[in-house]
Amino acid sequence: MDQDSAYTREQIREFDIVGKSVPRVEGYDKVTGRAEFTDDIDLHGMTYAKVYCSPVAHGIIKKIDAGKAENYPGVLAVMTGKDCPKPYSVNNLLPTETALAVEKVVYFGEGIVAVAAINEQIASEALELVDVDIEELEPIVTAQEAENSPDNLIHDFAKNNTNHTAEQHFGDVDDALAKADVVVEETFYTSSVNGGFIEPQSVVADYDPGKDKITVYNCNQLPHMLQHTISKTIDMPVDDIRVIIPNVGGGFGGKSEATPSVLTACFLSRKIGRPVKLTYGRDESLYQNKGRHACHLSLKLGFNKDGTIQALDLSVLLDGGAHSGWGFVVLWFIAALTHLPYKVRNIRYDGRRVYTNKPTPGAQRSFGGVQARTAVESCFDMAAEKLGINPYELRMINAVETGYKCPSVVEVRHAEFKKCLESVAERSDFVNKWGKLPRGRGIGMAAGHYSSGGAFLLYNSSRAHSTANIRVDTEAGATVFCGVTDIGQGSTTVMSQIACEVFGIPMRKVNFICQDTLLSPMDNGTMDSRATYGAGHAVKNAALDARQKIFAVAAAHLGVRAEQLQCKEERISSIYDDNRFIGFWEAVSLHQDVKGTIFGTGDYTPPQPRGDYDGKIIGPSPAFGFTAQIAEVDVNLRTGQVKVLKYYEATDCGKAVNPASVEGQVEGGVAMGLGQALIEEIVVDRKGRVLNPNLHDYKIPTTMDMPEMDTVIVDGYDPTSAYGGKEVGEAPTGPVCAAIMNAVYDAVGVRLTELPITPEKVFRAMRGQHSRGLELETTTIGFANAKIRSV
Amino acid sequence: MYLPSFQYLAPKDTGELASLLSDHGDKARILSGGTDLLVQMKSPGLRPDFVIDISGLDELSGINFDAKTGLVIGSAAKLDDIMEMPVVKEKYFALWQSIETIGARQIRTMGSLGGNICNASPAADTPPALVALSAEVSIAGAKGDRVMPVEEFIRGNRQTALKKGEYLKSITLPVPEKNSGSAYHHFRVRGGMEIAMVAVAVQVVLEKNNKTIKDASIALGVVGPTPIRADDAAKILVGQKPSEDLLQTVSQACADISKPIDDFRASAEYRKEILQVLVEEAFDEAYIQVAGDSK
Repeated sequence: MDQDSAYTREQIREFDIVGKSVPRVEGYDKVTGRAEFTDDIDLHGMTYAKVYCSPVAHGIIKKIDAGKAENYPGVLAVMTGKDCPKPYSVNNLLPTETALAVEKVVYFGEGIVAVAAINEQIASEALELVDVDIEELEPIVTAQEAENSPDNLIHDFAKNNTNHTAEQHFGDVDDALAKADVVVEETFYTSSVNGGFIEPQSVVADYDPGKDKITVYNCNQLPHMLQHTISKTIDMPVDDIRVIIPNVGGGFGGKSEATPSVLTACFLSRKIGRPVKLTYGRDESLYQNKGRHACHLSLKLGFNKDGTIQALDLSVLLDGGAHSGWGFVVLWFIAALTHLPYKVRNIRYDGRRVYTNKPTPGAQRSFGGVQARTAVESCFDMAAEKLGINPYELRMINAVETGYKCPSVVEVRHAEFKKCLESVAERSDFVNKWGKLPRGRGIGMAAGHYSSGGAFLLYNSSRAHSTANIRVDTEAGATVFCGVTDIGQGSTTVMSQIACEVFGIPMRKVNFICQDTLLSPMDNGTMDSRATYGAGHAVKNAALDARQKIFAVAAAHLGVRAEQLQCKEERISSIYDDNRFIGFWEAVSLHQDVKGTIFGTGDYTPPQPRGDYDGKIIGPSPAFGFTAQIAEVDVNLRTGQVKVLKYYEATDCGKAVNPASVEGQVEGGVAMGLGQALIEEIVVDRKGRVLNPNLHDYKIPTTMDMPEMDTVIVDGYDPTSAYGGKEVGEAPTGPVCAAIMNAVYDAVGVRLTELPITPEKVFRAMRGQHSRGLELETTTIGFANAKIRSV
Repeated sequence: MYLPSFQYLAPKDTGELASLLSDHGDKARILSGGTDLLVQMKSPGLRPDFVIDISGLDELSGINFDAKTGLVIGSAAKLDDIMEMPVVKEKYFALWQSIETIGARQIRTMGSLGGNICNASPAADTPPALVALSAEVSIAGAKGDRVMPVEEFIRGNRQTALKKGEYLKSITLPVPEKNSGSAYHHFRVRGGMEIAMVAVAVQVVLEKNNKTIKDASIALGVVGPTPIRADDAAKILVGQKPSEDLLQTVSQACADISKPIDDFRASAEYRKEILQVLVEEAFDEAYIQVAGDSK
């Protein structure tokens, strides 16, 4: 028997708490309303800020007259872009974003003036007294216009409004396509959507003049990166900035960078020496966006007669909005995501991301995945038809398995992808239904994957990706300090489960301290589906470190070797003789008497593959989660309306640490994909104005839109993971649009290639008409005081 | 989002309501359920100095059915309470359906029928149903009451026939003739919490044979600034037995008089297509209520 008893139990994969759907640690508070979110914070002397939003998408600020606002009773400070002009961006790549617009406005709704007052109402009233004179410039509202307007540059340094370009070529695509028996080719457009988190972004900045330090409360996924952004922008040392993340009402990636409001609040708080709260309305949240990139894709796939894929040739044009955001990563991630989940050896990618005068997209759940999967999975079905092979079979022929190495440095160390395909096909009776349902009814399949955190850090690149510290004593139980952020995905519960498993103690004995840069060690944060895998490793390592110290005392007490001890049910016992035991807390107490409080520490950094090619740092991951999905739809032949009747999904997330949470992730991920497939889109008119900056016109699905869902977690265990678990937060969102589009094709024989597939688009496609570009009406959005001069 | 400042007034009875309205006139807005008013006040634009709350006035909250005079609904009666009256589902099915589609339960619990009419949104659900059911409104004012059909009351986008100092008192729906049925069909892109993109309400009365159409009324919603009463189209049905051709003629006649807009939600052309589908579906449902499944 192995000397490490916990490892022994891992070998037989039998756990007490891991793998159980224990209730969410924060669930009671959220359900009953006890949970405190950023906007709930009420500090002594609190003040409130409001921002004047630009009524135009592109223009030169000629004059700002805020005198009346400054003198308005109750107003404490007024701020403009010049007060805090340092630009920032994710990873400091092409920084262009500022707290408030400096000289130039580059998107509709951009902040121009901010006011802090003794209450929110006075701040709002003061804003109505602000007079801004803007010389309007021709706005660029499509990616194509951006590329074709050499004389109309949104940022002076960016020729042809290019933000980033990306090129990769593995194998020989031209040769492989020439030799392929079947080649399919299609262009796609995936729309601009927003995460639609229930909690709009909110910040409280609390500058302490006595200490010259600042505490910032903000609903953000990456507290440590936020610290750095604030530090650079407002010129304060990183260690003088404490970031605290209260409960977060959903993030979905959109909260993984600083909103301008954070920097505005910091600046104002430092100016007036009082805490400042700034909470966005839904409109402001949608102007800031940081949702999914709209993307034009052109894809070619080559296959041999036997169905094996030979080549993939993809070019994309990303509509980047006004700033960089996470765009650089999204651009490369689309490339990386084409290497899986099918064994394709010849791959070429040509990507561009351009600036437009639109809300900036960023990182949204399955980022790069929805774009890549929509194109690839649609083309797979097109190829299946040409080849005369059932789409399920075609996917099985090409599906990756454990040990697969991509032509890039990406390696799949564990995959149960084929089990996912088999599971959904069997449950839905896909092979018998596909192509055989009555007209108007259809079934479609799509599949995908996602990384469990990148192998390479994008910032602070020499640090461990996750670190965890644990204190164990009889005064507080086991207290874990970890930098991961729970944005609703359940990381606090999962990390607590992992610590409990190592110690053999119940959940209530664990405290989890996170989301506070003063207490939590540096962590890469919640993004890229890395928490369970990456931070989970760190927590487990820290717990093992602490346990070793407890075992040393217990071993002496019991007269057995420490290596022969195990923890279970709050007892430490010999793996050979369960009757030789000491209570866990008794052992902890002994340790405290003799050697003091127990501290353990652990960290984790994924293996970093060697190799050299452009974009290499984006794509490799220690583990990949997989998903296979099938949609059954009804298409109304008269109206074109698509109703999803039933949705089948199978997930390979390795060992599900908390199956109920996995189910939630899958169902939520599918809901998000369904919204993008059918109804969601940020609509911008010719002037760059957002026409639907509210949840009335920006339509996220309701329960009434959701089909019956049949989800399964396939049996799996990733031996490289802390307890066998891997990614599940993002993969399920990726293929949903494609599954529905493939089902619509099966139902009515028309292939929709442009999202969202609205009833009108389907209606026109059924009639053989192209959907025409609608001349958008201008709507009145109340910015009464802005004078707009046309050039 | 905070409401702007205003003075809140809660009259004890309709007498006090009338005097408050005559005092404050255009500076006042009536609050019934607030599901539209408060949302609008939180957006730039609507800034009343006075908000007069009528939700506590029993005189305006009644829902009474009389076999002779019909159904009289107080303007402040809650949508949910109206839906709960068995007679509404039984005799005024189109109205019941139009209420059922509004918002969610919480909205229907607060929102009132009078509010839905007075808000005069082109996308409102109940007005087309009320028009098809030939409902009339009673307006109270200093010079006495006025009565007019709903389609005359709603004058334009967010415009009603209410004059300074007047308020909507009640809505009266006549007792439907024997052998009649009604239906409200709408088209929306989201399954819930959604407004209609196009809507149609139909009422049909059949002869004793339960086949021939004795009378019909059709109201079109969201395809113009106000609900459109499609009398010429409805007349085509009278004296006929339903057939596919007949319905196509009627739905085409409806599309011809409709004036939908082109916007980012849908094109006018598409709305007209949908309108025709809805006319046929709503007719079918109303007809089947009387005739059963056999056409």
